[in-house]
Amino acid sequence: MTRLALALALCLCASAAPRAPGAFDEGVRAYRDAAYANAHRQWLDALESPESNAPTVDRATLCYDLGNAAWRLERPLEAVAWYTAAIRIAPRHQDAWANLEFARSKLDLAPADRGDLQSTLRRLLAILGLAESEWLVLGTALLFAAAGAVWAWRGGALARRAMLACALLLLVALAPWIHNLRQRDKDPVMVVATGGTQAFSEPREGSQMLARLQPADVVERIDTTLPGWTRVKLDDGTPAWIEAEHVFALRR
Amino acid sequence: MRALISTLAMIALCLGLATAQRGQAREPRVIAQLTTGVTKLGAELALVVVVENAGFANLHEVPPVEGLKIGPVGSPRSMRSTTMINGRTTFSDERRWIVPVMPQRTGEFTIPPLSVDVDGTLVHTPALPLTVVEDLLGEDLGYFELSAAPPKVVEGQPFTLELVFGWDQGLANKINYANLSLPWWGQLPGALEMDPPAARPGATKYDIRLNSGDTIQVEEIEPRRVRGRPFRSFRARRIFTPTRAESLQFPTSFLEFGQVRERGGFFDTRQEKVETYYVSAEAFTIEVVPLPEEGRPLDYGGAIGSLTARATAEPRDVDVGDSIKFSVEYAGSGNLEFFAAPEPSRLESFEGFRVYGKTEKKEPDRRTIVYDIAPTRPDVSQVPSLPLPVFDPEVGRYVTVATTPLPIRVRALEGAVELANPEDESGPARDIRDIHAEATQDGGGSRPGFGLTLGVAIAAPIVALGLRLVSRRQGDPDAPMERRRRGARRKLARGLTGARDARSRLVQVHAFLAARTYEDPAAWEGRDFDVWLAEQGVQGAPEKRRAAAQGLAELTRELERAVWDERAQGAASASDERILAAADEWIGAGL
Repeated sequence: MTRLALALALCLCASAAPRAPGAFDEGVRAYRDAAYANAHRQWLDALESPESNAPTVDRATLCYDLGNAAWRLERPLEAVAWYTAAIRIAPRHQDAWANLEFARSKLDLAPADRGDLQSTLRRLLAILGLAESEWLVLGTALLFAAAGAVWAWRGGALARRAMLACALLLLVALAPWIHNLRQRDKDPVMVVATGGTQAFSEPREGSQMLARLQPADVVERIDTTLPGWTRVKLDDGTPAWIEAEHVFALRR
Repeated sequence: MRALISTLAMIALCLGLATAQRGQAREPRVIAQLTTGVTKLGAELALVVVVENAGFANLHEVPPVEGLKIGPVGSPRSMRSTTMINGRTTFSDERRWIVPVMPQRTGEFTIPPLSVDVDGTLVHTPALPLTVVEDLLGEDLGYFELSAAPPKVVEGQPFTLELVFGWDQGLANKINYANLSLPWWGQLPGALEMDPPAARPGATKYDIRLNSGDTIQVEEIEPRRVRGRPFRSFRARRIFTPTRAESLQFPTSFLEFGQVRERGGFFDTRQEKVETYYVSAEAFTIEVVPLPEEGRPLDYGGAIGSLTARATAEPRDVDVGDSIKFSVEYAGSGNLEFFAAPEPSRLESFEGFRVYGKTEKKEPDRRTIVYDIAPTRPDVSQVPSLPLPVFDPEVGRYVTVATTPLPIRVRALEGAVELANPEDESGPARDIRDIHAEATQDGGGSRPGFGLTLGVAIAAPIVALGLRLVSRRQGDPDAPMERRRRGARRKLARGLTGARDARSRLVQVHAFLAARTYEDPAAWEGRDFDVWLAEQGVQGAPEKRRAAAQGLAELTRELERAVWDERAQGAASASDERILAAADEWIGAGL
């Protein structure tokens, strides 16, 4: 009985004691003190090695804050990459979009959202995350089934129109889901070398250059097993090698 | 394919680098001319072919011309030159063939177009006319002067070529034909022709033949006294700008004048020369020297000549930030068209102004540049002098032609600060948005999962269609009779609101029954309800169904009695509520 009471007391004390500040909070403190390098390090730790005793911080927030730290450290291309990674996780992150477009404009890069039809459609397709798009498909499918049941039972023009409208909604809802499924397995990387980088046929100096990539270009990563080199797929599908330090993984 | 792409990329890269580093090369140009357009039998002349700025050039054999011995075509003579003005490097390259021509008889000849291979493209020169005469009469009867001013120019300095010619005024009535033979016309290597100067106001202009094929407009001037006699005189002027530092050769030119008459019929009129005279202008050379390096200002923009600058500014009384049109007019003799206009934004003296842009207007004798500037501070009191470095050939050195400062008044805006310069970092500017300092939990985002989502998406239309098939087996719910049956109760309620007596109520009940039984309302008039119920098997149905059927049957009989039985007329019939209640029971029993 005494032991039980003692154990219970210890548990209560442990739960009552204040939680030690995690890496994220340390990073915030460092950022406020203008110690941007320290803030960057803390947030990177929080992102890559989340602490077991701390609640998991939203990854989009970490990527966004890391972008700010990189910007303050005068690494603008890295900041662009972090903001892009944040938007991949949270497509409607307003602050990440704002900072991304600001950073790109300062680097004389074309806006991430050019405002034309293609960019708008792409952004609409990516506006929902994978979970959100699946729930949307589920909801519209059930709605379609219900409308179909009403139409089957009652008939009538109104029920038929409602069912067709639900069918159309279902088709529209499928688009972002399919888009998210296609993106889920991709591993994009962004070129963060000032002045761009070269893509070679083989992972060695002096091999044939296949293409020149500009800063902030995004390509799909295929292989990372070779130290110092990253294998990517160029726009035309050709595999090529790029120096690993020149690219930044957008999948975080 | 990959090798081809990479090879092309390397070539493009090398060419791009080469172009960026080496500067600008001009477009290829082919010129062909004879040393003279008119010659005496027995005199020698030459066909000169010049190819400028080509990587590769080859002159094909000259086509034979009967009466002329042409050739052989030897190896060309090559020459290269480099010019650097205002930081721009320009290269020029020339290959020159000199082909001897020996006339073998008198007559008028046309040397056909020559074919020249220029960087893989076949280029054809224009045909060249040649007149060979027995003897050149006319030196005493006419005169022809060809002069250039100045005779020595620097590269890029325009010069004026003046042709003055005429004939004895005593021959004026006989002379009705003139032709200028200018072998260098349109074929002057190393020079660009500019817009001609304006003719004297009121001068009479004539079009006379040029090189037997073209025409040239000349103006008649005051008669000149030549060798003590008055000569009817004409003049034409052209302006050229040499593009490289080498001598410009002007071969002997001829004036052919005389009398012609028309021969032939209406459809075949031709001119026949009755008398022809020739007078020549001596060949001459204009020496083109390069611009001197000594004393060349760093901001030299290529201006050459004796130029003046005059400036105006409107308005002169402005507020901070208001636009001022600062107009600078350059005039004089020089390459007004070609020099780079000065940039006030690059001058320290203009640091109190913001320059928004400029427009230009070029005329043959002047060039006007209008700068759009705005004062950024109220303490600015004048539009400063705008200098232009010019090479003046007359003094042989670089001089500065500058405008005079123009006083202005700038008023400060009330409550406003001065217009900030773009480079001023203390003013408001954009920045990134702040970090998110709250550690929001990553909930992970529960998902239905791929399988469930796909399954429901596929199942939904299958379920809808399946239900539809099933329901159709029991009758098409969309059929008009079904819709009528479903709406029978609603229609009964609506009809009863307007019913005032038993007859109208009975009509509504019959309509209801007809809709529910897919029949016509007339089928229910006078129908024996019990017989019908027996036919439908209602007698053996469960109690609820029987009760519902009997209830409405009894109600119907009441209404019929009220309508048809004279003794029952006037008595109260079934109320609307009872009818609707009975109808509800009927529907509830599935009838």
